[in-house]
Amino acid sequence: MAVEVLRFDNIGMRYGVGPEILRDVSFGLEQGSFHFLTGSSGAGKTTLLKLMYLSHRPSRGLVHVFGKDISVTPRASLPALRRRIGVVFQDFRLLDHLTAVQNVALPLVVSGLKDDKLDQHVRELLTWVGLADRLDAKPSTLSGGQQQRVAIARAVINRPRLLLADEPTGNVDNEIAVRLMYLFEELNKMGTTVVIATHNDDLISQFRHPVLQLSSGELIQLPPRWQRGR
Amino acid sequence: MVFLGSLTAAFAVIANHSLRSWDNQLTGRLTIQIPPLENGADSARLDQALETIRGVPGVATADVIEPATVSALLEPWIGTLPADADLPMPHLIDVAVNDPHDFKSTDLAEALATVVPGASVDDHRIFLVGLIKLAGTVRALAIITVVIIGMSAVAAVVFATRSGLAIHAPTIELLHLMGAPDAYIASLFQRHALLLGLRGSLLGALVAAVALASIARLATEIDTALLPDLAVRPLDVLIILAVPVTAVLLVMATARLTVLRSLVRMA
Repeated sequence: MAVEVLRFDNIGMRYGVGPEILRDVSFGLEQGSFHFLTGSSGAGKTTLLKLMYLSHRPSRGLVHVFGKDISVTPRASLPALRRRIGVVFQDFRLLDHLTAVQNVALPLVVSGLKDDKLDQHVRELLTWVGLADRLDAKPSTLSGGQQQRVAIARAVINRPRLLLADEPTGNVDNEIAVRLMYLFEELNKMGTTVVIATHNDDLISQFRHPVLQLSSGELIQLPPRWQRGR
Repeated sequence: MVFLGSLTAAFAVIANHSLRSWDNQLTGRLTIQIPPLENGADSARLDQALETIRGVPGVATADVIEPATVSALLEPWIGTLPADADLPMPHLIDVAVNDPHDFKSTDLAEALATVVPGASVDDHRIFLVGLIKLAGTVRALAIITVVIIGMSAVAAVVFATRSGLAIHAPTIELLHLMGAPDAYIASLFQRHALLLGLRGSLLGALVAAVALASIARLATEIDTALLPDLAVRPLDVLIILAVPVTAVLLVMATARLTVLRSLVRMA
């Protein structure tokens, strides 16, 4: 039986006393799997991702991450779990006072791994995503697409076991989008479990990966698009 | 705040010295006054008094104050006396006791009363008690003021740190989600607070040192009999230096605890 890096059982989520954003969501992500997460605006994709990267706790149900039940995991143990999850935020969340290199190196600094060799690795990764000439640029001087690539490089720099990306190709042209998807696939081949939240149906159809579809807070698991036909 | 705290600590130290000095004077020394005799048989009476005084348990020394010294003490009130002035002058005996806190001046007065009627024992209480009370109050107020300044500093740091947390909330949330432990995030604020605290404390301590040196210099130009002892001893320097050091530690600890308490509210 394949190891699950993440499991949601009957998850419900509401903010305060508002309506339930997610209802009875249950699914598991096997190690090394690759999923697209899709759904219309307001369907709950970002909320589901927040629960997956341990930003929030669910209102009800059980979350297991890397085999640990989050509801009984001590707060002090959560940072170690978070360090194994890479996240590409929809709004990038780059730190304006840091350069592109420094932003990408941040997870390494937080993990206490930063050294000169890793700095070289950071520069190579940024070069690979097409930012060789913007290594020392501040985010405010970068275009939306360039910022997105810095955010992606930051999410993958420490080879996370689980990579979650919220609309990672939303601000780049199709050529760069496909190039970034190949980066995610490379990581996936090395064992990283990947979930890409996207609206881009064309992108989904180009890759043979199963889809998690959210509809009004409920989750439907679909087989890869090529098995369903278009 | 370090400037105010250092100055106040210095005043507390000075008040403490005065208090101890006056307290020792009050309890450690006495003056015996023997009224002059009309028939001039003072010498034998004085010897008898000295013998009695030295026989009282607890008395360390008893010495007759020279008539010339007595005249000099009276000079501000009666002017310079001519050499042949036949003014009946009281005899004064300066008495030092071994253990000021264990000695009762009433025992000495009782012993003298039987041998030298009319002798009076002055333990300077009337003059010094008021001063001691004043110095004690000044010392207590100075200590309370240092505590209030410390509490104000803590409150200021708490508000400043909370503002910093609000301003840097997105950065903190990002570090939190990247898996930075609370202690790591708190250490960033703590380091920032340390640098600010060090800068402020150094400046405050320097200005306070200049102010204290100026006060001490001005005090040397005044009749020191009217002023408490302003000399700074090595231990005093340590006490006054403890203010900026404590301020820096307080700022660091407050910033760290404020951040840690705020981070606990995150998931």
